[in-house]
Amino acid sequence: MVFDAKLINPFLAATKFVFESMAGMKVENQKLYLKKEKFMKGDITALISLGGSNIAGVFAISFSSDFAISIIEKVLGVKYNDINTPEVMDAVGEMTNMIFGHAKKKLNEQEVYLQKSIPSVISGKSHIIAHFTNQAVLGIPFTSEMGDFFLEISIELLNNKKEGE
Amino acid sequence: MNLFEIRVLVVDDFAFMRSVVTKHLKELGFSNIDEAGDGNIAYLKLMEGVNSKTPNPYTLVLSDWNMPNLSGLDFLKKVRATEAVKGVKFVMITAEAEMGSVKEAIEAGVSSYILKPFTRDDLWKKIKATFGIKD
Repeated sequence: MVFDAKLINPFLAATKFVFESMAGMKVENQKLYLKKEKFMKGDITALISLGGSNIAGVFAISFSSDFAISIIEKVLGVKYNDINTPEVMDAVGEMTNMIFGHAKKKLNEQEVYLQKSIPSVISGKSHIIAHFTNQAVLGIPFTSEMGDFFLEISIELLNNKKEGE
Repeated sequence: MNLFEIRVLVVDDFAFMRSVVTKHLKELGFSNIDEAGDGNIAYLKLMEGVNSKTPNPYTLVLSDWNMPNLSGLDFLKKVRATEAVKGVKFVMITAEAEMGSVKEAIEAGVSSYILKPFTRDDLWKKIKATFGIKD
């Protein structure tokens, strides 16, 4: 299975940009791999549908409980003790939303047109998300001074139609 | 006018982003800050600011674009169409996804816009530019 780097790289760049801007923290992606495990690696995951006239897929970002609490504390100066709170879920969702927005712009420049979409957030040990695409799922570990987190992308170009066609 | 004494309204449906913006404002020295979760609530707050027996109007609105009920753009249009509050400085907070629509906000009378995510320094530069304050 071959992945098109031009579809994946915008998400990597957007993730680095958002963490640096929001938290002043550099994050680095590690080697990409084809996901075979069933469960998400984190305790809380935000996912966003990648839909458009010529694209389909899912983008997800998954944090450990400690990472989610630490990054929010770094950004807001407020420490939450539990990820299952509206504030933590809201924060994880909004960070994902910003990554999506920046990746969307880069993809648009390549004539890959994503529609607006809103994130969903789920939490719990060993949770699963479904991708509903023929494409394989790519796992992308990220490292940072606060620990690791994980991106997951399935993305498929459907045809060459432009937005609105 | 002492910029740090002005009343500021932060509008976003994501509590996280309201908290981020409010934290930045407080660190910059602003202390008179209120928050609203959508454009309808924000509009009511603006009107309360001018209609109360002891008026305390808002001078600056920092509003997200993409919100349920009343979007940032529709909120802006409503503000500019209301005599009592139409002069408020209005900075739109936009995601990349809305950048293609910024022309609409300019036509509707937005004072300025800032792209998410942004740092405290980015916000300060934008506020100074909005009020015509030079470095």
